[in-house]
Amino acid sequence: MTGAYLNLNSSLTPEQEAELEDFRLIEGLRAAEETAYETLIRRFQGPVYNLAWRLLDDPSDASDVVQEVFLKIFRNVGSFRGDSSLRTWVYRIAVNESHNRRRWLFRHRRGETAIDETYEDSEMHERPLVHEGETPFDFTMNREAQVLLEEGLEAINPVFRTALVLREIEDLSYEEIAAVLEVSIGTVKSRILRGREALRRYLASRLEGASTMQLVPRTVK
Amino acid sequence: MEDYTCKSVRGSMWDYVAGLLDEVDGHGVRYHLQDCRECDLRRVEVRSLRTGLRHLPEAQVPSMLGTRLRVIASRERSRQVRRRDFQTRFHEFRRRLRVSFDNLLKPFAVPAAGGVLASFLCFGVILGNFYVVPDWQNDLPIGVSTDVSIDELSPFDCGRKDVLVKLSVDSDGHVTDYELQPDKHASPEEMQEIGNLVLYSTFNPAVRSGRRVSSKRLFFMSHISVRG
Repeated sequence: MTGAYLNLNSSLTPEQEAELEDFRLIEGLRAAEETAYETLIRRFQGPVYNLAWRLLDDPSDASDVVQEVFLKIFRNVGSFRGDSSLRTWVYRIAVNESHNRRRWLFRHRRGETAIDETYEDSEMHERPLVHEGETPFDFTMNREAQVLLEEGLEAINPVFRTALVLREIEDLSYEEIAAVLEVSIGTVKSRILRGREALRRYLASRLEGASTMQLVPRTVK
Repeated sequence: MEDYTCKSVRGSMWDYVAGLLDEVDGHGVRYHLQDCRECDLRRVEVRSLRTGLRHLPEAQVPSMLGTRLRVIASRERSRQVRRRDFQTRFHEFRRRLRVSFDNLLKPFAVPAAGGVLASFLCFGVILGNFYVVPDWQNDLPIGVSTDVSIDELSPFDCGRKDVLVKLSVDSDGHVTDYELQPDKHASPEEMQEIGNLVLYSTFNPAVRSGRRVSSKRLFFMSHISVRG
């Protein structure tokens, strides 16, 4: 890996630059450089938090998972071999931690009922999609569509949801998802397909009567 | 795809919308969509769904979480630095050992010091009361055993007769009783004289194992006349 980056004067593709960036970051973490820790947090706290939140549907659980994920990254960065990209490795830890958390919650919180399960809790942490040309009507429609999609994601099987979120929201390739979930590409495709179908059916049942589903934000291209 | 049926086209609709199909498959799907209204409606749905998912709002990371992550990072970095080489590890081990030792002793140090001081204070105050001054003047050796002996004889006479008297002497040297031999008879006057002689004489009490004890002893009293 190092040898490929010795000739710094040669022109690098964006993928190679990203790999070089990852390599420097990992080396910085191994050397206990403060800037490397800060860079890692700045780069991954948002994606990891969003991923955990999508998989767990609870902001406080997502916060706990993010802390666990970063703790594991800091402690195990020395044993990171570089077989996969840094992003894939981080996402794999995040997915595993989220699954562990969900299992723990299933065992320990079975039968518990939250005091307030309304959507307003998550709205506090959410950055609304604001567009300058958006009218109040468009904003309301977009908001409803987002709520509907969020509910649809929550409703589908967590296994399919994980694959779907990684593909459609986090924009990972099939190969990266396969590496994150440690399954074959065929399994990834199958899970994504079933997740999409489950989501489509859920939305179709909710939007019964409409000719086609129109969930596209109207003023955001 | 071999043939572009509704089933196969719908199966690859997401990839088609995402532009992931190769040129041949893309053209085949596009051609099918021109003829199949149902599949075209599905395409609209998929595109709508895909765009909606991609535009879902990102959750903002709570500021407290960012702070916690930086605390964790700082702690882990410090831990990593401490474990860098053997010397640093050794110093760290010594430091942790010292801290552990201090933490271990602290709960005991204050009570132990208080206990020692309290014991010094208490024993210092009351120890004087425990001291007994020995009476060396009247001390007797433990091994000494003696019988009753006459300390000073009374000036009274015993009636010019030889008398064998059995005396009971207490631990203070006082005669508590006296009696003649059973075969000897004496008149009341003689008994009076013997009594005066005995009662006004002083005796040294008997000693057993260093202690003065009551005891009995026979004394033979004889009258001696001296001319001259």
